[in-house]
Amino acid sequence: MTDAQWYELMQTDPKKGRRALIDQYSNLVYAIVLNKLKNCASREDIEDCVSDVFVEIFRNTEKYTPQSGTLKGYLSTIAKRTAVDAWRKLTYRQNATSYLEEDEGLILIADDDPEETVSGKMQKQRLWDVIKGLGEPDTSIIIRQYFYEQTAKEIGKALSMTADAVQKRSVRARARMKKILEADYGRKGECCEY
Amino acid sequence: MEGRVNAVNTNDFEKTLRQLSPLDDQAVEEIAEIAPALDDAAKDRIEALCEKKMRLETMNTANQIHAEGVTNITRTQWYRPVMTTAACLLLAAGIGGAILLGNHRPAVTPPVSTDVPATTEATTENTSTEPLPNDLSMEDLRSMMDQNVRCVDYFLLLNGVSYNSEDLGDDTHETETDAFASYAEMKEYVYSVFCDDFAEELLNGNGGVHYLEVDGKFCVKPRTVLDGVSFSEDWYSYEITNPASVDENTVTFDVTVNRTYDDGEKIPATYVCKAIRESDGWRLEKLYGYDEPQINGLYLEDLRNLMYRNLDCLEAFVTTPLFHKGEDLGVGIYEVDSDQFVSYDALESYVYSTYCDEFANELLTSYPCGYALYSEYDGKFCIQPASVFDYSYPEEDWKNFEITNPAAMGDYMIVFDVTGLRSVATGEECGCTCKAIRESDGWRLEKMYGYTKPESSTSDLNGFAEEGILHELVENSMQIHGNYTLKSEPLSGTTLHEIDLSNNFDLSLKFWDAASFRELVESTFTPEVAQWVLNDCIFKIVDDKLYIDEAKVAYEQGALVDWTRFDIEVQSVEKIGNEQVCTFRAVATDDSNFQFPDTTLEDRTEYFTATSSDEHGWLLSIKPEHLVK
Repeated sequence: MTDAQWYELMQTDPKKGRRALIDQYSNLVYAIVLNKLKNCASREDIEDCVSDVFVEIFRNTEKYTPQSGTLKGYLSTIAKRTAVDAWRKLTYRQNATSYLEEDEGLILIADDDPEETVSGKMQKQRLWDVIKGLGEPDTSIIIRQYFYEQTAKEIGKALSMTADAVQKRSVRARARMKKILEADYGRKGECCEY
Repeated sequence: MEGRVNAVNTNDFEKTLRQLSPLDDQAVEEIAEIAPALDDAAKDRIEALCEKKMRLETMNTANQIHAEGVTNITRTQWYRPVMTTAACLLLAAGIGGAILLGNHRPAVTPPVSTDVPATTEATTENTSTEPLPNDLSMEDLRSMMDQNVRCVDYFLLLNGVSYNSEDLGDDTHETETDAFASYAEMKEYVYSVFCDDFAEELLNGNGGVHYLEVDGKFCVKPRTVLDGVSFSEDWYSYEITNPASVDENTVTFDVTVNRTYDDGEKIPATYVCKAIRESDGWRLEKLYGYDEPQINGLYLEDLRNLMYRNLDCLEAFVTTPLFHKGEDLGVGIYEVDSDQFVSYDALESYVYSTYCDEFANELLTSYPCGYALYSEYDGKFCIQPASVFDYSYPEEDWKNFEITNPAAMGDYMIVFDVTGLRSVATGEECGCTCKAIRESDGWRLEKMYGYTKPESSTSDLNGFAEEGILHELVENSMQIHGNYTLKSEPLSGTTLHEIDLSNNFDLSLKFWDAASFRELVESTFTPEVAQWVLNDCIFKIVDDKLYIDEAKVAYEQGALVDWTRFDIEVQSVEKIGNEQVCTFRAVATDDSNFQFPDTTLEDRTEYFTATSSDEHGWLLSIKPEHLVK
């Protein structure tokens, strides 16, 4: 469904339009929200925040037109903002020294050395590249295990595998990743402390 | 740089993986595409949440009162509230002690009034044989219960209290209510209704809506606390009966209200209430209302919690053993890598507080349920996975289980049904009858539920797990059989070609080099067959590199069928000694996009034999037809 088609659907049948948007973008919104809230929110909190994002969009349908940019971009922006608000709310009670750098979507520790943070970003990027390079289903297993924090059973269900197979593949995939990262370190000899 | 040699140690690596997020926007987008997290059920939940929030907003908008540029949100109606399990437990533990007459089930129809009732239609009937103390009349009791009704509204239903929409932090809002001029006034009121201990608990937000003072402002955290309660109670019409003096400072009396369940059925609920004489007058011992029925002193919520614990154990011991670090400590056991149970002690204590001692002991020390055995080894929390062969059980989906028909069998046992389970294999609804036993320090389940212990001598092989394993074996086998693009130049003087990974490295490829090929073969075939596949089949490993022998490749064979989708049909299972031998066939399904239209069923069928032993699990034990050249 294109942005224009969705826009039109919202004019003619808002309920269907709302469901269509959830079908198409809820996984993206969920990932964005989870990325921000993972360390401080339960799954229910995250789903609640995801629904807040969609409610915000549905409430302000008139503010969006296909001419004003991509729906995906619009949605992503609102998702990030909403997640930041939720993060603030959820961590209000904690005596947190951290803050959110909204534009970059990074949680920075206040007393972090900026160079360390850049190095951390590079490491994460490299790690992400290695995960992508594992190939399926291992990439999905690692993402689901470590990003979504799903259990082997949940992963198995999502990927039509047994939990045992998931377990085995996860172990092998991690071993491969470790090997690759060790090789990285061997080559560069610096800044690859995983 | 000393020490960096070990920089990629297991612990750091795990830690890094666990701190994978936050990632940049691009990566997050990719993750959503590669591994979408939400299934249809989750999308339905989100849609329902959205619709609910929008409905609520619309109604709130309709009830908005505008004052000096701020928006006041007044909850003029009670929506079916949202209560966390914790809050429910607090309620159950701290408030009331209802005895539901005639029928055990939870309760609701929302009271719709927004105003604190000026009067109630309470009726009283003094059937007491013990006279009330001189300073306490039936009229006094009625007056106390009227105040209880007000507090039900304020603390349980959040009725009659409006509040400013501005969040002062931590979801705290300034109240906009005429009921009390200040927090101090509310505090004084609560202490005048309830005994001191309970008043303090209530004002601290335990078990009810939390009112508080922030910077001198009378504030409220407008959470609702009755989620999961499936009934409503009509506190605008209650009946007081059986007042009786227990001693000169204590009077008990029954208060009966009408409960209305979701399906409209009305059943009276009777609370045994207690008034206590304090230094300056009579107070209620606690707040009465919306208390779940008890069976043998146990709330349904407690039974539910026991079953949730059962589910945790079922997963940890049977269906989804805890993750481990993958490194064999040398004795066939692995160090557990779990946030759920951080130590063996934690697991042990969880098991003993879930099951009766006898079963707990069996679960922790043997393989009663077939999969994992946990232990402490060398100070580490370890898992010893049993062979996959052991866990032949019908797996059930416990997402939406319900507890029905709880019944006390004497004082020390409760029997109840668990319904709403679904067989993962067949999708059919199923359930089980469970027993909770009262032990000296609380209630326990008699044993683990949701699991059927495999019959060791059975020849039946219809379980979901085994079929999944056979499926994977065939999938592995078909990968080896698959057609690959070869690099054009063969190894000098041979017909061996390397696989051109740039053309073949698709998303489903299960091996990519000699090591991963060997690993796949050894985990798919029995040692004899694996040897044949490694040495005499179309693949060849030379100097740790993987080649395909072009001379042995028969591209035309099998090219007509797409083996990415197929069904397993088990034909027979025989038990021979300690092994089981399963003959089965794999049939490529009709929905393949790549099948030639003139393929017959036989073209799309491959026959296999797999052998299972306790030691190795299932492995393909004869040369698959498609690999025989």
